[in-house]
Amino acid sequence: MKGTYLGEFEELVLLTIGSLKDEAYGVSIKLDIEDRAGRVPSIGALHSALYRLEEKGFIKSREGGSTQVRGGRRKRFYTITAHGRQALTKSYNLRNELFKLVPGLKLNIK
Amino acid sequence: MSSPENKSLPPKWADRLLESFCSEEQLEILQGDIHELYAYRLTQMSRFKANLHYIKDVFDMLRPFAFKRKHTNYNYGPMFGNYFTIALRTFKRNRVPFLINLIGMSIALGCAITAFVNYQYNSDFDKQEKNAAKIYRIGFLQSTEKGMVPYGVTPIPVAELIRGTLRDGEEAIQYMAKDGQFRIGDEMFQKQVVYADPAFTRLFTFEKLSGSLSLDDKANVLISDELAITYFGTRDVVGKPLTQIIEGGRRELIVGGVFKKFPMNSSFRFDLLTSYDNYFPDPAQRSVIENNWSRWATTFLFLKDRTIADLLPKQLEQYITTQNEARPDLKINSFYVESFIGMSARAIKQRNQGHWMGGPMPPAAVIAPFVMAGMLLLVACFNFMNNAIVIAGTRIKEIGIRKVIGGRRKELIIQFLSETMIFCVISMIIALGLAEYFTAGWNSIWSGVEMSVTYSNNVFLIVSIVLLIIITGLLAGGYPAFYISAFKPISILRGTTRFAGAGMLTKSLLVLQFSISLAAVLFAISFYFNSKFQKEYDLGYAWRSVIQVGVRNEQQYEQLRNSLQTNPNIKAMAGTEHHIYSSSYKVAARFEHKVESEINVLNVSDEYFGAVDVRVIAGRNFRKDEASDINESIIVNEEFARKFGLGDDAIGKQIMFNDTIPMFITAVVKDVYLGALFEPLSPVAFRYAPAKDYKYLVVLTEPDQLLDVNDQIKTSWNKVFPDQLYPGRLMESRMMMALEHFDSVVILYSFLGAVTLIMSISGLYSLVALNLQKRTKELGIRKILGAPLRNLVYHSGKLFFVIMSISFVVGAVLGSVMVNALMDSVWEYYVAVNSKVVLIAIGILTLIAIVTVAFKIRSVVIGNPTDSLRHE
Repeated sequence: MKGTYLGEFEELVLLTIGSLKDEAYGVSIKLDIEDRAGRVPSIGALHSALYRLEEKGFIKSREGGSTQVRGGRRKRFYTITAHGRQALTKSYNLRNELFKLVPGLKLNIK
Repeated sequence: MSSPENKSLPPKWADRLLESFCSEEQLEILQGDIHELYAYRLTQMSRFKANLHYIKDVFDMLRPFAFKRKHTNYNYGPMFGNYFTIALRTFKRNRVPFLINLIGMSIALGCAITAFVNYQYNSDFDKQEKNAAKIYRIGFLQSTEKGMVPYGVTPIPVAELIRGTLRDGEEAIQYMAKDGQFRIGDEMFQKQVVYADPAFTRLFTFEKLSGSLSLDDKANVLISDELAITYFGTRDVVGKPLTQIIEGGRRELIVGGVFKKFPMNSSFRFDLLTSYDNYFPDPAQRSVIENNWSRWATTFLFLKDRTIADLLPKQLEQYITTQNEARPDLKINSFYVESFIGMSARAIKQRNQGHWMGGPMPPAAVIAPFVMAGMLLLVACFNFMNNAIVIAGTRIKEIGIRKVIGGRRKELIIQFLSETMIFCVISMIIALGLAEYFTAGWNSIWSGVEMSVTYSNNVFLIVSIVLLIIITGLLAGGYPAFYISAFKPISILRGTTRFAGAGMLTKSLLVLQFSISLAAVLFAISFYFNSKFQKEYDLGYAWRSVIQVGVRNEQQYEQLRNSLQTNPNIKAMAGTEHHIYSSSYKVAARFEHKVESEINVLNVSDEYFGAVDVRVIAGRNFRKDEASDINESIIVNEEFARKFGLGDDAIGKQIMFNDTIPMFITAVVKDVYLGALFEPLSPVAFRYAPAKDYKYLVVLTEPDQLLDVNDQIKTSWNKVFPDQLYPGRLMESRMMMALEHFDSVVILYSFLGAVTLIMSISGLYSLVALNLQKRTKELGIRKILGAPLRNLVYHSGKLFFVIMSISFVVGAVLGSVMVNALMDSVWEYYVAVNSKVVLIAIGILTLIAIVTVAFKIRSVVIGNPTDSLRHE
């Protein structure tokens, strides 16, 4: 089972959800990724990732906030679960460790 | 139309598409998101681009997570298993109509398969030739009164003239097909032999079985595997001797190689192939023949591309004058070059006069089976629809209960359609067996046709069969399925559904069925009358009692004639140069100012008219060897006199032949149909032929002794000329072949008529039965109130009479038009559909229908009214 495995795109989506706090839903996540990462994820791929993340228990969702442009349809807001935070931390640590092991790479913290 | 807020909405169809596949729980969120994105994009880009993005987004949602999930888990295996059982029980309960329908459907499908096989056989014609795109044939057009007539041959000198203009790797190949006599061991036989240039076997596609297929050595002959098996008993025959009997001796040949015989659907049907050099029996004469513009051969071209093919007709124009001087009787208008692809099909279609090869069937013979199968299929489908709708009356409770316990309409439709499919599959299985018989029967109608139903490697046929099942299934089962599943469950269970089994649709379908049946019966009867008419037609000569024996020269003629002198069964004998239906030539004739450019002329002896029973109606016969008769006498048929407007005093009139030879009419004979009934009656003139020109010995006997006499002549022949194959032919055999086709057509349409009739009658029977069943109470009350028998019969049989009458009108019109069109396209002389034929057809149909239905009506009319009126 895939279980706790976190893919690269999924990690990006998960982090974005965290950064958007209470305003993370499909369109806002997509636009944020476009802004920050400079890549244009397709809406289908994004929702597919969200669906997987929720199945794995990294995020949970609630519905609400319908607007006129959505034709009165509700949004689905996502928030990171504790399990999700854990996975992010684990992934961060792993990267950090590996990063240090690569000679000649220096952290350039802004 | 569109409100302002509509303007900011994405294309509706894309939304509908999304709704169709997206699960409900995801739909609101996903659709909301992409709508929001759309609104956002509208601020960034044009509406068109935003629409494109939107559509892309919709298709982007085609991912597993968004798809609809099945809510119910059908147990498909048992479900269809139950459908199958229910279907079988329904079939069983209505055994007779379903059995009739099943047989009808199987026959219809069998015919359809045969039609497809027939189509494929003809469309695959010459498919074995891999170089077809590079091969061309030169021919010429003759201009006649009826337009251009193509000849697929060229004057022999042309090939040599062309060779100079060809580029490297291109070839002109001469090809000559002739009948030849051969001897292998003690066995003599006559077979077509082809003389061809060495490039023929190199450039055309041959399948070599053994030896070498080279035509370079003129001592070699190449034979087909079939011939090898027949006459040598083995395929291993390379190096074995074979003798050809030629004019003035024998030619000893050696089998150089064996090729696989070409399939029947190819232009080439020869079993023997030898060097073109062998076409000239006497090598010394070769150069004479090669410069002779009045002799023809087929000339194939093997070209790299079309360049030369396009140039040649223009280049050859310079030879037209030379050619026309050599053959003044057949004036060439122009030369043409045609591709090998479709060559034989064109030759058949355009009636090419010089196509010395096989050809596919005429287009009509490819279409006709489809028409027949289509008619049968329609009738079978209509019949099935009628049956299904009528029988639905007994299943109405089943449908009501299915609906009440939650069966959806879609499921009911699927159930009824799958029942029809089961029916169609069963019919198809039977049809596959029948198709073998039908195909064999079809083969037997045509000479030189050999097709078979092959499934291996035949995607076309398998796809056709599958499509056939699906299409018939939908056609037959579509309407009943929708009709039956539409009933409202409440009214069914309350018993208030008015079951309209005999609605307009059923009635119209029945009318159509009967019309087609009548048309088919009409076909059968009129073809029967026609074949009788044509067999008895006076062609002007006794074609059923004449035997013709080809002779090489006067000496052979005399020897044969002397050997037959004592035969008591021979009524008359004559020598002749030309013979009716076998040979003749054409001249232009002029009387005063009237010119007929195509007069058929036959050179005959004084005894000829007696020997073929052509009656002289005015004037005198030729006198034996009288100089004036040899030089300037002609005997003409009535049509000749009519064409020139000579009236009764034709005798002694002067006619100019080819504007140079004056001829005088010495007698008029009854009309002679040279081309039997296939060609219109034409003017014919007979000239006197001296004994040295005789090509035939013609023998007259009685029709019933024809075969015996033929055997006796054969015996005499074999005694006098032990070395030569008996060349005798019955005059009728060539014509009969055509006449036998008529008989097959009669059988074919009688069969079609019978099948459609049985189906129509069964449909009529169930309809009338249903109608009466619904009205038993009404008829019972009528009876109690004293309605006379006449009145009861009228009321119970009204529906039946109305349906029959309408069908008869439609069927008679439809049938007559089709029969007349068909006959007109085949024959010049035929009996068109007349009132007698129509009346007979209607009589047969009415009789059968009345016998069937009367039985049912009788039981109602004479039944005890208390039985029908008693409640409980």
